[in-house]
Amino acid sequence: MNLSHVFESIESVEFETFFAVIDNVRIFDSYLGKHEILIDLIEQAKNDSRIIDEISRHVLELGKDNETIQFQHRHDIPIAAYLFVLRKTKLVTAFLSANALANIPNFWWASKIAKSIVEEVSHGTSATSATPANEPSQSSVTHSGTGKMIYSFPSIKKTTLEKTEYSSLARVS
Amino acid sequence: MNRSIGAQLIDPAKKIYTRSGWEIPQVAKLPRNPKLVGLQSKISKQWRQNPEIRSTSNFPYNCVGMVFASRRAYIEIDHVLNILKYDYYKRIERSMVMVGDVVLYKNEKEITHVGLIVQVSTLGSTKDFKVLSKWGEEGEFLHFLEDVPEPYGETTEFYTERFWEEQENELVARL
Repeated sequence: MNLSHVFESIESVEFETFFAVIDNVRIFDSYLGKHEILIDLIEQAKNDSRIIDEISRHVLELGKDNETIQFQHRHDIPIAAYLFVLRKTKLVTAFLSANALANIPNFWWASKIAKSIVEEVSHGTSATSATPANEPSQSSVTHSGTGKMIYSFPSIKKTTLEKTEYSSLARVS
Repeated sequence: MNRSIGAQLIDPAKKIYTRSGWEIPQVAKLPRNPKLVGLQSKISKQWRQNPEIRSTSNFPYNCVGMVFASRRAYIEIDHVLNILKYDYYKRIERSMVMVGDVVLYKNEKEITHVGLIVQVSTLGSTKDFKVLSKWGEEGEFLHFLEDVPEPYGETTEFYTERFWEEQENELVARL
């Protein structure tokens, strides 16, 4: 799979134009799940964790590409799509990526998908292998009107593997 | 006048209410970058042959804000049913629709969109409608009833405030 071509498609004006007409977050989520490019990417990512790592790195890079906070983040819809893919493939990575983007104030759709990730983690439906240490306590996210994600994070006890993942994400940012 | 405030932000601190006094929740949504809006308009014109673009403002109101708040608010679509209820709207049959009435779109029971009926054409017993509505972050479109993006769905319901007295009495009686 040529990941850079996939990224180009997701970050294309055509992709954003399709999703830009939607107002209902559940419909937005539903249509992300029906989009061929994302279905394919999810399938590939489930079989290759390097793709997941690459997506999470790419999400952080896109997040930093924020010309002005006067306007909605220029990559809001693609970032929402990537977070959706991460949510479907590896919830812990999705959560960490959402966490890393939490201070960016001018998201709209990305913050709604991030909220869904946090809620999924709170309900304990983790995609990681079940270990007793990984029991998230209650987390919450509030969504300020401007789209800023304001999290109080659960105290997830990370396994050694997840600590490594978190460190690698932190190095990127 | 402070044009930068007027042009940039919808202010949810300025409350708006339905006729029965229910406060309509608003959200402060940032406008989209005008460069991106311009690019999307080009794509939109290629994709959408029939719907007529009325305006492509990046001012951050949505379909609900256009219909119920004069383009001065972004109101989450989830609040539409409450607005209809507390503004004394009544659901009506297609045969009773007039200009100025509201059309609600649904996709598998999810409310997806709302628009304003601006033209009614009758051919025999069939009524055709033209609708003015704001398509998400795109512009305002003038379109036939069924000529909407796929995510909006195919189910439509019609509402009017023309029978507001009847609705008001019903609501008061229930309280």
